[in-house]
Amino acid sequence: MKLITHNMLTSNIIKGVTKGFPLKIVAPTDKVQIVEVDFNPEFTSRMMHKLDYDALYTAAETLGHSEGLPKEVVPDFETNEEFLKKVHHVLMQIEVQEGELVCPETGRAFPIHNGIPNMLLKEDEV
Amino acid sequence: MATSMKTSTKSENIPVSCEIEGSVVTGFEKIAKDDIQDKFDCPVETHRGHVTMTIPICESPNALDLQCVDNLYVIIYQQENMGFTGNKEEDLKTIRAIVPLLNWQLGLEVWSKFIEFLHPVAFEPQKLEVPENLESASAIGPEDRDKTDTATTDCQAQNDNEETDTENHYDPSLPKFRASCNRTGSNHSFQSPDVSVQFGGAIQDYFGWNVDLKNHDIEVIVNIIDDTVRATIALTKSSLHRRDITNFGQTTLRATIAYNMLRMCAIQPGEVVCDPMCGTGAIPIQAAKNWSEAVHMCGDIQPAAVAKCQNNVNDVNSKRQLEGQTNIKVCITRWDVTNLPLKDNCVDVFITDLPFGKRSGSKFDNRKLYPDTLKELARVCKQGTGRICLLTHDRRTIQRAMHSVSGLWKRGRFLWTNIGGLTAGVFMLHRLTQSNKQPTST
Repeated sequence: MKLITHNMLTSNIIKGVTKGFPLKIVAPTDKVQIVEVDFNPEFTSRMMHKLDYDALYTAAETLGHSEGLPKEVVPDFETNEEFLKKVHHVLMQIEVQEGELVCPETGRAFPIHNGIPNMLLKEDEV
Repeated sequence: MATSMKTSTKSENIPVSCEIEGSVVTGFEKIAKDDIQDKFDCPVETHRGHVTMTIPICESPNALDLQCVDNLYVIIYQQENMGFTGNKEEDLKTIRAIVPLLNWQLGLEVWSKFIEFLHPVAFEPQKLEVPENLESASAIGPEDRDKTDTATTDCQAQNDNEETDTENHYDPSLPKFRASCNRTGSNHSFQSPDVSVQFGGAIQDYFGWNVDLKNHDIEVIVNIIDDTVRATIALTKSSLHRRDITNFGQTTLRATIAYNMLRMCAIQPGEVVCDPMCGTGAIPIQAAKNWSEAVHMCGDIQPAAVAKCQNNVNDVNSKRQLEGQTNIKVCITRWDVTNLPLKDNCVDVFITDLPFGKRSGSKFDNRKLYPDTLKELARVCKQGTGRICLLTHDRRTIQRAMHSVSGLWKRGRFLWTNIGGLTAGVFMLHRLTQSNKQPTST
């Protein structure tokens, strides 16, 4: 699972949950990989407009890969290629292979296996 | 007689352009035309089931990179008003007679750019005599036989043997060929097998090529639609839609259909594209390959589907690495489409092949699944600019479902197509802006 996916996932699917974003990531260090993905500044710049930056920063920090990433969005980031490169790195190049996504409201854990989160609920949770 | 090729000659009557025909799944012809015009900036015409592009011969192999077409052919003859009389013998003779008139020089030149054959193939018969009446042209064949039986003998040979008929020696310096016929029309005196036999026989008389219906180097096709005849040489041995999927499911969507549906969505760089019922991943893989500047997400409820989707993505990437290309990025999640774990208003394009209710799911289940899906997609889809593209055979259920959410979506483009023998519709919906509705929770 890449952090770009994590930036869109919520546990509001659980009955009664309204503040299910962002999910907390729990993952052993050896199950977090770095893969190489081509950097495209225009793509990253456009994604910046859609992202929840705080959630991205927190997730990267939790996984121990936030070095060099500013805590807050840099002004005129659209032309700041160095900043965009760092965003690209945490957004696209970090992959969680095994672990859990935890609902911030209920603590319900959704497993991640082979890089794929399982967001299916049991019948009594819907 | 007419061949509609451009033959702007440079020297020795060598044509510069050729007409390449690409077969397209019914319904998507206009979409394929737009795609080819974008990619090649060349004239393109649409016809039923195929498009025709006029491109320079030297650039013709680029047609293999097209994602919207299945099979490619080079056109070597086109004639309207053939003048079929309704007399079978006469009409078949008319068909045989076109063989020397086909643009073999152009056709074989283009063919040689697509299919490898160890020896040069002459575009004219190598005998001195070119008889007018092919039926009695025993001089041209390598053996002496009464020519009126040739077609039948050839027919027997073609039907019985994979190699040439027993009276022709197999000549390895000559190509193996096959003649095929596609016929549409209600007033023909002949049927397609009659034509392929006669046409093939005439070609064999003309060139002396070896006959092989299965492992041929050259396939010559004659298409007869009412009184129009169009002859082509095949450029692809295997359809171009056979790509990128190694782990198939029961209803894996053809790559060219997935691609053409994606074209309808007009995906922009930086957009989030999602197939929420992705199955084995046909759509997200074509999307990620061809729109690399967008974000590609997908998901399915079934574990087998999700696993196969991941395997397909991995296999595509292994192949791409060998070819020096960058990996495609597809984010897969296991989820329930009617209860998506996604924030409101965050996906620009949803595109999916809905369960038809035939091989997958059931029409009964669709009655709940379709409206629930449309409501959930409305929540997640970006208001005002978001759109969805849906493929389904279950027309009644989808129309009822669209009715139930009519305040959320505006209907867009629609077309009919054919999926494995079933009539299916492709529906585009555009997300309306809800300025009056209550804000939904994040």
